[in-house]
Amino acid sequence: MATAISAQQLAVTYPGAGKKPAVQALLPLDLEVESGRIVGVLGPNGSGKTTLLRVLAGLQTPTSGSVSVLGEAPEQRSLVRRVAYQSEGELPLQVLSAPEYLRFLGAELGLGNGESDQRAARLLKRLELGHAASRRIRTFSTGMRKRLALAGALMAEPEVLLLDEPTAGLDPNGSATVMEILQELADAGTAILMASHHLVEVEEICDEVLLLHRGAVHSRGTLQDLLATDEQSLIVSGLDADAMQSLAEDARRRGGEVLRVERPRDHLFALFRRLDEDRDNATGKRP
Amino acid sequence: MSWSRIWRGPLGMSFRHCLMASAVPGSVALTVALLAHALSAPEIEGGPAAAAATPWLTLPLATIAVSCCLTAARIWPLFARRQPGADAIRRLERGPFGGRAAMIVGALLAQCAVSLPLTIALAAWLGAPSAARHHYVGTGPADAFLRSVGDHATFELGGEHEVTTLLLRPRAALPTSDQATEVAITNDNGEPLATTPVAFADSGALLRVAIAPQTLSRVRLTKKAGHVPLWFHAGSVVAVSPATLPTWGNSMLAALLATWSSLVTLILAALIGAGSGWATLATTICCAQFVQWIGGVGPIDDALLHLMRGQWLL
Repeated sequence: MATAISAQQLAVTYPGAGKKPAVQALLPLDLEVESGRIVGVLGPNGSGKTTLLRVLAGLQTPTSGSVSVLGEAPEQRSLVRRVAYQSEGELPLQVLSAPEYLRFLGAELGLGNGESDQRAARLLKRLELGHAASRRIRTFSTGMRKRLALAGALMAEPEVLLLDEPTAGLDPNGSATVMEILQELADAGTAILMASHHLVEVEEICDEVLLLHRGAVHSRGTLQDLLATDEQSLIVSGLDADAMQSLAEDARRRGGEVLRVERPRDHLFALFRRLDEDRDNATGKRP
Repeated sequence: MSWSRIWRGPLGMSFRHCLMASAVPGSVALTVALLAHALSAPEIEGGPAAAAATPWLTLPLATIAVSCCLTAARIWPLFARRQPGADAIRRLERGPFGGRAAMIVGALLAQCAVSLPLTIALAAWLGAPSAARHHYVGTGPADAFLRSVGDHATFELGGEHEVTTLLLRPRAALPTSDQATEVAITNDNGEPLATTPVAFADSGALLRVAIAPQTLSRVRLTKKAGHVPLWFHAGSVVAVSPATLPTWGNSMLAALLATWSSLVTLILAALIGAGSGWATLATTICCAQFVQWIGGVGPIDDALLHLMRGQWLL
């Protein structure tokens, strides 16, 4: 597969001002992401995740090292249509409605009106925002804004997708939809670099994980590699209550511990989805 | 780039939203202005004093200008520092101005679209003369003092112009007696323009001298009698053409001049906003508009007064 993102000894230091000392946001790191792969960037707040994404998006100049995205320097204007970046922060232009916002992005990306309209309609439907088409963005919930931000990133139909906390603030349904879309994009050949705090999501879709700590790469590999220890947990499902009880007792007898017993959540997700559909049918706004 | 793409881009977005944002405050200011004028319209010599109504023309136009500037600066995240979504826009707008130029043009077009009909209608309603006249300011010597009988000064009008009225407003020095100073006015050929000399007793008094319509390129003033020394400073001799120019055209010029104040304001805002947050930027915009509209800095303050006096703005 082709290399979509490549960085060697990439480092970023924010200069100090007055009594404020300089901050080393990223210590020299190497990174390679191939087309069609999803790489998760994990790490606590302030670990350098956003700085890394901003460098790759061409918004931050690295202090040292080299970086290329699709074979070009990240700040190249030509990459705007090929590389999309969804930042962690608020959406701009919140006085617009969702379709207006997407059409604005289409115009900025140089898309024809017809193509822009088609993409906007398709993305709004896919991200379940069709019912809010006439509302201004500033009236949207956090989850709706997140989904619209992803729609905005996808307007370019990018070859590289840089996502900063794409599911933060989303309900389980919205989160599942986003994960589904990202997997589809990766299957179609898009390289995705995704900063996240959600281990479960990262485990679910990321081919590789980069763990950052204080600007340095702490470890990298698949999440299974990173979590590998001698200790293992057994997760079972499909047993009735008696069998579960018996299994738990057996585990304790053997020196193990029952960490958690939980009920399946699928029915809750289904309930959320049904409530959404009922609301949309009632308002008659779903396209 | 096609028009429809421009309409969807920063320019069109700025135009649409400035138009919408200025509608309500503009309407409120217009209502207040009309009510205030109706309640307090002063009269001079039995007719409404049009120039005195200038503040009521200023109020809605200035409100629209401020609304448009604030809206454009508020919407576009690159006008001030640390605005929501600035990164997303910065990636798309890699030009030297970061899309601010398009936003400014959109705001100015919106201001013009609202101000233009308003200026035309308001000027007529507030009593501006139905036709406007050219005013040609005479250029004379720096020491145009008429102290003794026989002293004279010549004022060039900058070319030949059809003139029907002269406006004279000299300053007076301490008189040596209470006899007013009489001044004779002659044309290029030395022929008298007024049948009798005009008399000045007070400093700064405006004297309007109607003359037979004729083409003039200069005016000569000669002291004939009296004991009040007169100083004809810059702008104290003005020749006025016949009233042939449409006031609606003058109103359009005033509306265009009004956008100049917003252009200056938004350029200043773009410069200051690069290093400051939204609160500072909004304050800058309001202050910059205030000094231009109310403080007499810039062309708009005088322009509205001239419009109401029937003075052609070009």
